[in-house]
Amino acid sequence: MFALCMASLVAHADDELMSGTRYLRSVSLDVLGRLPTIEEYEQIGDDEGIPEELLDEWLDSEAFHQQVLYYHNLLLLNDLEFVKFQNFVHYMDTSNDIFYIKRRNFRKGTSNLIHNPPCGDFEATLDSQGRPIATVKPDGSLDEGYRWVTPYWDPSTQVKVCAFEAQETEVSSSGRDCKASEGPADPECDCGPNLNWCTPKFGYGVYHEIVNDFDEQINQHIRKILTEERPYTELFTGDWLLLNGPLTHMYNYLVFHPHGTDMEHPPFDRNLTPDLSYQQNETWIEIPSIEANSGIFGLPGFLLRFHTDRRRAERVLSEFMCIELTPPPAGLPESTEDELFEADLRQLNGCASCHGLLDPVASFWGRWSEVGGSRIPLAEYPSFSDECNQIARNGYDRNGYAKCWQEGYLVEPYWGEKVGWHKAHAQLYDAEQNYPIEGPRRFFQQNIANGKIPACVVQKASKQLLGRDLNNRDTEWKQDITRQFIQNNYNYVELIRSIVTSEQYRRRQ
Amino acid sequence: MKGKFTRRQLLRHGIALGALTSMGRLSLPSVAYANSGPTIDRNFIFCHMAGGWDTFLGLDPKDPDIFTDERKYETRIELGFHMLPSNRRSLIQSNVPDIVFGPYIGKLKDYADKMAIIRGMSVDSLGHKAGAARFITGKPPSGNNARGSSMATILADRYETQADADMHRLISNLCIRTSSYNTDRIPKATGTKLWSLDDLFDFVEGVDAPFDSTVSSQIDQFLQDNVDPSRSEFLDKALAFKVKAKEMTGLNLREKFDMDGSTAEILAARDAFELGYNERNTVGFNDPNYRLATAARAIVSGVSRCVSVEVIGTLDSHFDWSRDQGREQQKGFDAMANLIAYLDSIPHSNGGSYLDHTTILCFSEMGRKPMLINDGRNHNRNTSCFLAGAGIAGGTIIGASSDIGAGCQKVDLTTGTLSATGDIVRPEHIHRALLHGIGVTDDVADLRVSPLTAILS
Amino acid sequence: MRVLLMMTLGMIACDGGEANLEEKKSPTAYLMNDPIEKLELEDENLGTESIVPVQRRDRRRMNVFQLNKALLDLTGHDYVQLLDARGPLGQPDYREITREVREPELFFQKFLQDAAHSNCDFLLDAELEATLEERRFLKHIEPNDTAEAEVKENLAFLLLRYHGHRHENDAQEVENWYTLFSNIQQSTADSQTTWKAICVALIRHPDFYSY
Repeated sequence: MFALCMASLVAHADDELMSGTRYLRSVSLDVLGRLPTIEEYEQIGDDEGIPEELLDEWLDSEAFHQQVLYYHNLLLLNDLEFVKFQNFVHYMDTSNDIFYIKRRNFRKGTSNLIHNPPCGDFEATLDSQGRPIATVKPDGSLDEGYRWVTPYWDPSTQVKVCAFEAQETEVSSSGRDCKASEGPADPECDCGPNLNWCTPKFGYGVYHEIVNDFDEQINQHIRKILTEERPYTELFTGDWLLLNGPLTHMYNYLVFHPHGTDMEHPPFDRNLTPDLSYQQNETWIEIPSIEANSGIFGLPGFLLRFHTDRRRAERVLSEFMCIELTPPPAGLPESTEDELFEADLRQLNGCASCHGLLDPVASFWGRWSEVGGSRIPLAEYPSFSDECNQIARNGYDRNGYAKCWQEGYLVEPYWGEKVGWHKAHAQLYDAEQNYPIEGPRRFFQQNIANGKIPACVVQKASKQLLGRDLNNRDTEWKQDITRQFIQNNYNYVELIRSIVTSEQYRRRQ
Repeated sequence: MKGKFTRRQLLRHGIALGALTSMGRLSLPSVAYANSGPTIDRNFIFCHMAGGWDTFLGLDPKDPDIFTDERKYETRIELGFHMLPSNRRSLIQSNVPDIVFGPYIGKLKDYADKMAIIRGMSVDSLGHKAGAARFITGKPPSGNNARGSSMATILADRYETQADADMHRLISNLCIRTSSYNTDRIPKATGTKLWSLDDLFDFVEGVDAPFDSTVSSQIDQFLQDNVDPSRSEFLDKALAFKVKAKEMTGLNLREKFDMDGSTAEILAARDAFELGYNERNTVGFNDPNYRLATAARAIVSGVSRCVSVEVIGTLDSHFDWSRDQGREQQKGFDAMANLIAYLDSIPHSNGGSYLDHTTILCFSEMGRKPMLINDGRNHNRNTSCFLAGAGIAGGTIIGASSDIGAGCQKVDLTTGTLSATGDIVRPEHIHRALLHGIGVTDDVADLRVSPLTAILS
Repeated sequence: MRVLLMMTLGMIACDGGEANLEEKKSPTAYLMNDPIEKLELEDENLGTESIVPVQRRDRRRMNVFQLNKALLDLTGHDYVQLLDARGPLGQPDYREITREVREPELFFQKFLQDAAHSNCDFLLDAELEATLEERRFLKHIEPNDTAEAEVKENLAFLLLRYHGHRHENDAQEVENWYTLFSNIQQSTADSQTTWKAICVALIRHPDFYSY
């Protein structure tokens, strides 16, 4: 090993400094993603550095911001695809240019049939209470015709909507909340004013726009840090977030009683929701986030990309603290009979080496829903439920069991003494019980204060720009850069400047 | 008392973390398992019939005379055969005496002697994405997101990292309309994804140079003379791959895949997969036969080592089960039968046929519930799958679903028989066995289970 | 050997007898119980983690977006197939492929060659119709001119534009490229085809696509 190290330390011809123009070219590609222009080449001599004004211009450009976003995409992998943020029954379909919700069983009438579209191509007639009057088709199914509606996603037009869907009832006469999953079963329920609580089609249009905006929300957060010279640490501990029109609409109307992806409790106080229409997709308004959110790490773009708390923690550890968790090279030892039933992985031989760190860090996200982006409210879902504890101990109660399980409480017998605990808290030690309640903010604050996160930010950025891992010869340089980064109040632009103007960077092929 | 760590303790913790980090960066699979290469040259085709199949209609039938509609609340199994066409209410005898299939097995019934069928296994998930991720990677997903690399990627990696160049392939890992993951393997093992045959042509054909071959040669010679590969590993690699790329585009690989071609090989493939002429722009990759024909051609032409293909994607019968599920399954099964027959008809240079040198795994990402809801079935973690071809014990049934609720049952991994002390078979057991079957006995994929050696011949 | 040493370090740390069992189980417990202490910037351990033995810096190639942009800027032609094929070209999609790869591998070389053929063909055909101010490639020479001085001047310009190397017209590197030009011109007897070939050679050269 010593010989290997010595061989690696022998100077190599490629460790010479790049010529001025090759250096300019490298910086331009890394910082702007393009080649320099001839005019830019003409500003640099063979052995000179990049003129300060030119570098200032580059680091203040949209092209540079795009490169920073690209780099952060590699860290955060913020590119979502399959997210069912809305109840499936509120997705509309179209046929013959008429919008409708599929499979509303009341339309079957006396038949066993529902047509697509379920309503005919004629204008609906309304009764005195404004409800559509349905005719009975020969096959016994109902047909109410359509109404013209101005949809929220395109106020410049009107679309045909089957009249039952075009109603604007918020709560039906039988007490059903029309925005929630129970709504479509009730003939009085609908898609609301301007079809506000429906999505035109699953997987298309509005759906895609909102899912893309989850990614863009994170991009905008990073952009704001760059353009307003905010401390980079606000990526981790920022107490604000940005909302645009589509996301505002989603939180206002589309997240109640969801199918698959819980988004109901947002990372901000609903009273502070900005007044934006769906069309205002390029208007991003800053509002305070709740305390339990921390920078981007309570936003859907992160939570829905990394579905489980452990995965969230693992991503933070690997990409922002430079801590890789890998299994022991010899593999895991065989489990004992007792260990097979031990749910706390920190107690297991072989598992503890990773889970000893991973599980407590994961618990900071314990009250953010998994496969979801909702904050689990402590008042409604305390860390321990007497009721669920009793249900678990008293034997099979199908309804109670299912309710507790859905709410996240442990009820299966194999949990033993842990039944009744919320899963966010069940595996935690006493000193860790407030981790899920506080969220990851303090974890980030501590690891910023102790230098771990700044050092890793420097390391990762250096690796990306130098195109190699840092080595022993870089130790002092890395320490200097890290100190500068901290002293510059975590100015990310200045960090990049420090790296690309360093000899380490220029000492390349 | 849980007080703060001393500085010494923090540093020790830091050292530990540093050690973990270093090992991570040393790329654990290649360091720890550098010598665990395959000893058998084998190809793989992973066939995904997507949507979640109803195994009663195909691979895991139940006797309708025993599991009657009257007894459904006792058995918690509702076959629903009375809702099917009258000629689809009986089980189908295969070409192996003890193996029967459901009424929609199609032509696959004649290949049971080449198949190992696994029944009563679990994907531990009720979601399409999660189930598919589990089957493709052999690892429990993180929510709906896959963890780790696909088995196809891992297999490609094992072969491509061998010194023997005969183990290498041009497009080692080909994916036809399906997902493929590479989180920790060499780039060459990354799945090359095709949505259409034109995508494949883009990869294997070159754009003609705007000058003749004499000029091309002059350029090649100039680059050879003016770039010194000894200056760096990058340059060495760049020049080597430049040469390879040129060779590849000169191979005229299009004719090996163009189903509208007129070579004897293509005509035989069209015949075997029941394809008409000029279907590329009409039916094309929407047809399971077309997809499997492309997969098969990739293997027999020596272009690919592993091919993953979504055979069919229409099995998610929450509604219209009686009309759609069986019909769509049979489309897939018939195409699978064509695949097996075609590979079996092509002689391999090392003896036997291509089927003797290719392992096929056919799966769906989950099963469907044993009880009907109107004319539909919901998702079920219990499912079945089958393997065929090289290294597979043909004419074998592994495990069984239970007679109450068609649930998973534990199996002895070495014998395939039900065993109270065994394991419920999961995709990772199968993946481990696939690696085992080519001589890779170390757990190179970090699957952490024993192999289901009962499927191996 | 390296792995064994690192494992040993890890085992030493994990086996530290000074930390009590509960602290070992919960290494983050101290984080929430203690006040946040500001780092002393002179800490000699600042940023020392995750250091590996020396690795020599090697080149890396452009990623697909950089390459696409560079070719568009240089030739005016958008070779969209590069972006379509980005998976095997080392570009992550952040879902199934999560690492960026910057190796000059088989498919990269193949698509680079295709892009060079396509873009250079387009570029030089466009140059014939363009004024001197509009031209991107033949900035110091007329399309049909093969005079040595002008060819070398244009080559020196191209080496700067494409590779970032600044040379005098009489430098050896320019002379090498001029030799290539002359040899090709002798084969083709057509300066436009010759310049297309020079364009392809410039793009396929590692000094273009790597840095």
